[in-house]
Amino acid sequence: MKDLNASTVKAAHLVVLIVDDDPMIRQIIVQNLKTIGFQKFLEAPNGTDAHKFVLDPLQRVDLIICDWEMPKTDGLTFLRAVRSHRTRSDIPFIMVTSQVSQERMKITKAAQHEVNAYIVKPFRAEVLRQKVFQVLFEAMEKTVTEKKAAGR
Amino acid sequence: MSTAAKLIRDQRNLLPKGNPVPNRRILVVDDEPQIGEGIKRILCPDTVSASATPRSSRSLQAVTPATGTPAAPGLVASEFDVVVVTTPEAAIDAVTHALRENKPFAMGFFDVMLGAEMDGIELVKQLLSVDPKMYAVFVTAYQDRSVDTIGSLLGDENREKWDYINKPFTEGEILQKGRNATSLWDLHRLKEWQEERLSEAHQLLLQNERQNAVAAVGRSVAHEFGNLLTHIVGNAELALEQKSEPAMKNALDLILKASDTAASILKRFRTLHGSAEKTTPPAPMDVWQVLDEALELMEFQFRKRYVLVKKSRPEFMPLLGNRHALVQVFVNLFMNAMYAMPKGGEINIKVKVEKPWMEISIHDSGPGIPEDVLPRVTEALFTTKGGDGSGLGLSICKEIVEIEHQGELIIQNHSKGGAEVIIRLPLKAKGE
Repeated sequence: MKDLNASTVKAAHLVVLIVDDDPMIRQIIVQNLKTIGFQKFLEAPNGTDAHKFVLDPLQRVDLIICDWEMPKTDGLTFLRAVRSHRTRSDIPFIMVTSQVSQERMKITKAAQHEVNAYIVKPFRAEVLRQKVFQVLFEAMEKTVTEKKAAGR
Repeated sequence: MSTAAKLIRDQRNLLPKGNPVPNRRILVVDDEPQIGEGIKRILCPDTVSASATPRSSRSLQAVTPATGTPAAPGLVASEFDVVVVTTPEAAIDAVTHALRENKPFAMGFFDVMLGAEMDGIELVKQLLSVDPKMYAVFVTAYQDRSVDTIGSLLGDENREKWDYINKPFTEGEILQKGRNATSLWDLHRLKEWQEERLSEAHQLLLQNERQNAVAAVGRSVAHEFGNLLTHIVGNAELALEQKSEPAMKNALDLILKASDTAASILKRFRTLHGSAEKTTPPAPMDVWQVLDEALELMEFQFRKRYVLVKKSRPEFMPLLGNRHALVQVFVNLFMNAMYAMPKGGEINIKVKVEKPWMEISIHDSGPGIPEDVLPRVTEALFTTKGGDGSGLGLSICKEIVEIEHQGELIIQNHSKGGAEVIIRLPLKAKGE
């Protein structure tokens, strides 16, 4: 695997949207990402509020880290909403969940809606960072490939 | 396949394969040994030697020669195990002994005129008190007691336990009566055996439903634990990286707080889980405490589904009961209310004393229960949730309230809309 780090993905410029109904968990994710160079964060306690950021054309969103089980709009509904957006359907999306027993079903469902990665609660900082870099790097490579293809 | 159906299937596979063993044991009571032996010879020709058949004038009169009415073709008469006695005392002995040996008689042939101080009818009456499962066939002559007399002497409670046959009888009649009565005995045992299996399966179902409620709560506990462990792990890791003393102290505080919450969730979950294992003796408790325990277990799901709980002024409401089971009842009722309000709503809880009951009312703001469905909602296996429900939730609540606590569980539509469940639990007087 490639050695991915903050400079590869230019972390300081990227805006990360963190969605979880538990403020402590949002805080832990923010703090963890800060230690690896991220500086811009958006927070939402549910999918409905998170969706407003995505719908705002002036709001930059480069990565979404979202909990599955939330009141109002849950993670999967929000994921579907993002993926059906006209211009922003390819925002990298990391799903977080704690329901280990239903994990297989959820991964399958999430995969159908093109989740980029998933994280199981409780997670270690290392896992979070590695998934964040991996997802962002893959998105960058995809963009490069698409640009090349378009330029041909 | 529903859980219930699967359980019944599993249970069937677990059953001992053997049905009750057919009973072919027959007792013959006649003061004339020749007649008794004659009947035995008809029932099992192989076991009675030819020399043992001297015929007295009376036996000749009683038993029509075999040549006159040949036994029905295809009969295997020796399937019977026959014991012949000549006195009432010997008969009572034989039946008592057979019961003790676990080899009861399925039926007996009884001479009505036994010659002794006790006639055949009185003997059968006594035998039925020793072994109520036994059938009796009276062998009567026209000059003996009439059928009506036998009926009135044995009483209404025994009317299905006897039959009669007139002298002179044929071999075929004896065989057929013997067969019918022993088959009847077998059928009744089979029925008892099946009822036992059915009740075992029912018990297993109820047990399983309790475990389902535990599993449902378990999923929300798993969710909360996932979050709390994230608090613990996340704060610990961040503190390690920051390396400053205030940051570490702050992290440790947060970790301890998360651990305390986790411990109290676990404690509540154990309370609920205990009810799935066995029933415990009733203990004094405060109803509001029990309700709060159930509410805490539902907290996450209520929050997620916008269910608001309103409680009438809580005061100490002492009660004697099984706390685990009651927590389970309330969790079940809260879940039903929650499912009835998919877009959120209110649950009103009121507790009052209405002698001799303590009355707990749980009223939701859902659409209520359709009138045609209402009478059936506490029936086991009834569900309106399709494949999502096993249909045992309310029936188990009813069982816990009405059987375990001698209370009442009433489900109705509230006059102001929504469904209302009223639970009445008996107030125990002091010192009781």
